[in-house]
Amino acid sequence: MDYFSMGGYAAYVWPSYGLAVLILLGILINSWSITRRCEADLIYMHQNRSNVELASVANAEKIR
Amino acid sequence: MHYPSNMNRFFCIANAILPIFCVVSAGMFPVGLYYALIESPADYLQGDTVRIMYVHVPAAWGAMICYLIMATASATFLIWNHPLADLVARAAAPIGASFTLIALVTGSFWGQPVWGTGWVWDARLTSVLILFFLYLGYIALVNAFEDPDRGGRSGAVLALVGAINVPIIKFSVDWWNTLHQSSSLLRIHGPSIAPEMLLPLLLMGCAYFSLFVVMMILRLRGLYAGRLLRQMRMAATSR
Repeated sequence: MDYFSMGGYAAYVWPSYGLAVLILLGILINSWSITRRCEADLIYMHQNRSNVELASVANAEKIR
Repeated sequence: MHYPSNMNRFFCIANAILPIFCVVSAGMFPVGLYYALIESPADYLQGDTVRIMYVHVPAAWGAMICYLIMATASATFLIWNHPLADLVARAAAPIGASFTLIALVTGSFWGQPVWGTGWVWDARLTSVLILFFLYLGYIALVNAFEDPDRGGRSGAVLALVGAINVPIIKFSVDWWNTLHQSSSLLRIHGPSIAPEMLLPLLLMGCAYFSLFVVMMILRLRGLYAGRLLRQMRMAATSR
């Protein structure tokens, strides 16, 4: 358990690592979800060309 | 996905290297963290706070390299009008902003025990804070226009003007008296850092870089799909 005390600096070392991981995970998930959403919409529009106008209204707020 | 031919080759290559960098990234982070948190020694002066370096310094490298990529892509977009260059700049900005935020936050946690303060308005810290605001300003500006081409052009000008900040960040520790230590890696006489600390630093640098490549490819794909969607919608509404 002595290891986790980081020589008395646990309050500085662990939050640094925690926040770095949190921010990296956040931007990774953000990058992934944008791509997934846009590509899914694109495939949907390709498949339903007759419904293009309908889809454009439904998704207008999602991507610009 | 099927892309128009002019972009097809780029995304073919990008999609081919994406799984490689996913695997490298997933492998490098555990190895880098193991060396950073367990294998490497504590500093004789700073104690275990030196371990903050292994998340702080690669983030700061990434913050500056991202900006250089963004500025180069912006210049390419303004001069040659290549649409991919605009997408590269747009994709790099949020990643660079995240790296800058990590550098600022972890730097603050490192400064508290070592300097006695989490923040000072000295040259290095202030110029990195300006870098963060430049990223935010760029993101806000490119998305402020209905026409993505106009937004991209405006953002590109901002990115190029702000590029003057990058050498200021790099050399701020040499030009001014700052609390921040000077560079210990890119020196004329070679790195001044101990090898057992250099190894985890470079491993974490590789981990950050491979994650950066993964996120860049993902964001480029998303941005490009968004462009195609917009074109389809405009064609649909004008019909």
